[in-house]
Amino acid sequence: MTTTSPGPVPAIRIDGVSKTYGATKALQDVSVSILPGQVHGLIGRNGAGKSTLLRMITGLEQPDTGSLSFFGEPAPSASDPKAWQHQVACVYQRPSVFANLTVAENLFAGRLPTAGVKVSWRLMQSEAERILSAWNIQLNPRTLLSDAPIEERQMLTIAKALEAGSRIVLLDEPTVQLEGAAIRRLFDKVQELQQSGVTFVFVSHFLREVTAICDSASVLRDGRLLWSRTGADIRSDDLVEALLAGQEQQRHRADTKSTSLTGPPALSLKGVSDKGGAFTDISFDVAPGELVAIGGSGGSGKYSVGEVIAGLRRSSGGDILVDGERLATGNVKTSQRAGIGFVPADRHRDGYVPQLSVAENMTMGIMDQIAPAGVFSPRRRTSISEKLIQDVALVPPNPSLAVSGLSGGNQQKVVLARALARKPRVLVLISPTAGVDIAAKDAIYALMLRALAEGVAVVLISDDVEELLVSSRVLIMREGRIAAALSEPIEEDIVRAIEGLE
Amino acid sequence: MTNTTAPASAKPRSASAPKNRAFGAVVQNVRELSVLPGLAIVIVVGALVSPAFLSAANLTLILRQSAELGIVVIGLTLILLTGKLDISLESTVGLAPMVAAWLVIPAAVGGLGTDIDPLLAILITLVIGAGIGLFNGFMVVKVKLDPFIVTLAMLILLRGITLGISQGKTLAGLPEAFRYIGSARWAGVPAAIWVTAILFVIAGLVLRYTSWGRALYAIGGNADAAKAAGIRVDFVLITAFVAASTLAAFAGLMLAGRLASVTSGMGENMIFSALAAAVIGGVQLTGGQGRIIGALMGVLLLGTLTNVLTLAGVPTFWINAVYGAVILIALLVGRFGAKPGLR
Repeated sequence: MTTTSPGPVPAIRIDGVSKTYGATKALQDVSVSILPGQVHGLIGRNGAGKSTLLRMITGLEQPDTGSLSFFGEPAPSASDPKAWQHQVACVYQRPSVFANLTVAENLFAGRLPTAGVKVSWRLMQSEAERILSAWNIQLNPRTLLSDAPIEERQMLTIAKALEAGSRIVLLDEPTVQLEGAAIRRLFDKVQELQQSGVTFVFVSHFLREVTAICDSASVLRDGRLLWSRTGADIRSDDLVEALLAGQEQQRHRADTKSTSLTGPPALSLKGVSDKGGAFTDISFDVAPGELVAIGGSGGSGKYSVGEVIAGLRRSSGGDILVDGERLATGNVKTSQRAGIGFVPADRHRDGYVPQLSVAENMTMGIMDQIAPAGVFSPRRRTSISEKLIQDVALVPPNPSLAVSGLSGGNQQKVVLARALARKPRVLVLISPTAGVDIAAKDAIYALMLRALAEGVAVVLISDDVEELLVSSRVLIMREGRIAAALSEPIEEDIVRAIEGLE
Repeated sequence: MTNTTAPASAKPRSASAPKNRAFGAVVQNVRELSVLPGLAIVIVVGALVSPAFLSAANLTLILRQSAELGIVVIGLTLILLTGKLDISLESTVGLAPMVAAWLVIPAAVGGLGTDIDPLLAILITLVIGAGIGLFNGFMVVKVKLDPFIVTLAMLILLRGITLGISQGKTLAGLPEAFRYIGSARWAGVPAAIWVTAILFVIAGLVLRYTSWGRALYAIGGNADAAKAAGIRVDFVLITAFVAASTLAAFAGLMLAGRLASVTSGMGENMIFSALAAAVIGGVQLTGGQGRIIGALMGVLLLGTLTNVLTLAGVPTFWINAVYGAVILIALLVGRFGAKPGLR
């Protein structure tokens, strides 16, 4: 593919591109050619180099070595972002648009049509109508963008780029925020535009989408191009394999079989549905000392399961039993008192109060125990938190430090310490090691294993396939239901189950 | 300036935790005490302007005249710490005692003449305050309206009711018990000063040593995290509004006692001084940060300033301009004098 062959001129030609950041080789000698009118899938695990490559194609980064060309012409110079934008447009998961303005204003943002010194709303309106009908977008130009469906917003971004003259569109995980029907509509539009000669680069974690829409694809792994193929050569089996790490299989797998898993379950869900509709009819049991992992793609509802157990969301129908006692949902305090410890998905948003101290953050959930009458002794709180700091090996071990001053991993340890503070019977952990360094990751797993050994039931909900592998029992959710229950799975089983490939 | 140099010098020693802790404590204190230089300057100017300034009588007068503002600032601080706002407090200062006085005072002088026990009237004052706070809290927390807009509407509505009830008149002839707290002296010092001081101490203790007080900080710092941690966010917020309005009603009672009457304009424009005092004292409008000692400093600065401006014979029409300028300067000093390295 890299050799200069006669034939059609590629819309994008990436030739021997390398990029190094400090000690990290983000890209090494990557060459890819994409013909006009193709939809080209770009696949790889996190950190494989997809983002770096995208940033190069959009002109946000310059390669250390190697070159890019568009339609046979060398790429514009880095100092000319206008020229890049003229060639290439990029559509992100969350379309970068002004939700508070109308569709028409968004189309013309930055170049509002004017009549003399004033904005000509009439001209803008008629131009917008022309563009929208030309690209077959079912939107009223006067609609506020916040009222438009996300896929239409994405189409609007694409239309805007095409109006401005670009014939290459990068789609960076455009379907993450969309549900099934919207994805199909987006794909229909993409295929329509493809017919008229627009070239797409499609980045996705979802292999089904890649096989559905792409007519060529490249796989990156550890900054290198693994392969680049066209047409019928793209088979989902190969894609699954390409995504699997060819790296050392260091495992934290919890050895839960050594503990006896007899007796009544510590946590039991019986046909539980989410009041907000995020999941339906979920049932599973977790024995004391048992670890159950739940995986699934973005919209599978797996986080909501954890949030219902923790009391942040309400259930409708079904029963949650903790140690045989029915749990009323929708109240965090009730869940805590029932013996649930919880680590939320996004520690920055739901995990800690940045300007408050470590001691205060750790004891926030047990204030009713420290201060039964509402008044507490700071000395007692400090001594409790010093014990917790020791338990989770916080660095630095200083209870009065503001949590905002800690590293990501140690912030997460604070959140975990809070979940452990009440000596829970059940721990619900959502992506507990997301965005933490390796040392903290090991420490967090070690704490989880210790809790298991002490007979705590653990529900581990995660986006990360490697994290799911820590458990010997993995439930996979799709579209709000449990789609597969895997025992002793290997990575491939999980990836396939998440993707719905059999 | 302490802070711009400190991080650099603290870094090499960052391994020693106690050093950092001490440093953190200093920064914390500096922020609250950044009002002190301003207060000192105002006091020096006051002493130069008039020999009467430093007299015991004048200093007592400053404290007495700051008492009502101080109590409103305590309430406002509770709400500001959660990241919310209540600007209707100043109208509560007016309305609550007005309703009580209207019930008590004979019909001949503009009241209703119900002849109720004055102690009951005091209770009614406080209950009205609590009720207003409950309503505000409900609107903000449950109906999820913007606190500024809701309490702006309430500011206007409550003031309007006050005017309507009193027909714009001043209600005098308040019963003795009703006037007591605003006019009595304990150990030669106005009771209002004692009470305000005690309330400040209580507020300080509540904010530091009770789970409710700490919950205010947690909610102001990150309400989602507070909820996930099991704090009853809605309950804490509503009770903060109730506490603040009850305090405002009490301040109104004290003001009525001092003036020996209730006027329809009582408390007007007080919220601006209250906000200025709290913010000068380091309470952040964004929530989660600030201490009651700082708010007290802010109150004292504004009270002293008003006194000095009067003593200095600044023309009446110019007093507000000078007042505003000094608030601005105090804010700038607070911003650059103690820019927190912890933020």
